[in-house]
Amino acid sequence: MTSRQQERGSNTVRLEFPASLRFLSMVGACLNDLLLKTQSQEEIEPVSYDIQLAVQELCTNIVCHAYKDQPNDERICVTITFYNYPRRVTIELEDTGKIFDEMQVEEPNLEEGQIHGYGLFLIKSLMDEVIYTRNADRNSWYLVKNLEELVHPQS
Amino acid sequence: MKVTIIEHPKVIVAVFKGRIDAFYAPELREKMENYFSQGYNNFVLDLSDVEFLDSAGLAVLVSVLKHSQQEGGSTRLIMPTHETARRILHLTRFDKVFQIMDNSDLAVKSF
Repeated sequence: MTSRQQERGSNTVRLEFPASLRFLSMVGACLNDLLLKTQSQEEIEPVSYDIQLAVQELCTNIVCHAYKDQPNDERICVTITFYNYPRRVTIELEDTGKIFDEMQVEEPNLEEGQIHGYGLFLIKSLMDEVIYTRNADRNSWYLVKNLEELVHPQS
Repeated sequence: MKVTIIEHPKVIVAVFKGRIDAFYAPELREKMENYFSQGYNNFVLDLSDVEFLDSAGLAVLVSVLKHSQQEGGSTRLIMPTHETARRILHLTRFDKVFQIMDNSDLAVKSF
């Protein structure tokens, strides 16, 4: 096992929950608690908010679009990993819903308010890396948030 | 999420507290549409105590703005005091799209 695999293994948490909007706040609370293991509340608050919002936006997209018109027993898998060198958190989301087509998503016109289009814009604005892949019947989202700018990490 | 509605003769003030997200957005939209159907076209959306806003929450705010503009009224926004929630409204330029007021009293008097 490589040192990277060891690091990943000891710093990885997986959540699996029903694809329902009822669980959105639970995922956010979980992420915040996990981040608190690495930094103080004061230090982590802005970055925790960004990560919670990005993950919540993706979960909402999965529930409302990927799993639209599909049975109610569908699930979402979230894998969160903390890395120390360089300090960052990665989040992988997986679902078995419909393929995501970015061409169908319009960029929001920020000069005037609009009803749709802010979700993906927020995800891309708040995270340092956003990668979508379709593997067989699964959608995978890979998000990275760098924590380097945060100082005084707890030991 | 909690919303308190204060009815003034020509203005509806909606005071939000907590989270405005995809789970609560349909309930909020329905509440606001109830006032659209009663003929109100001036709104104050007080987000002072809002801690978390997602795109579905933003969509509810925009729907109120669009309705008021279409009906010849307007919508004023009170920004969240939570810095993280404020940042999202700056990022999406809601602070430019909406008329921002310091507090609900001033906003109501401005109509």
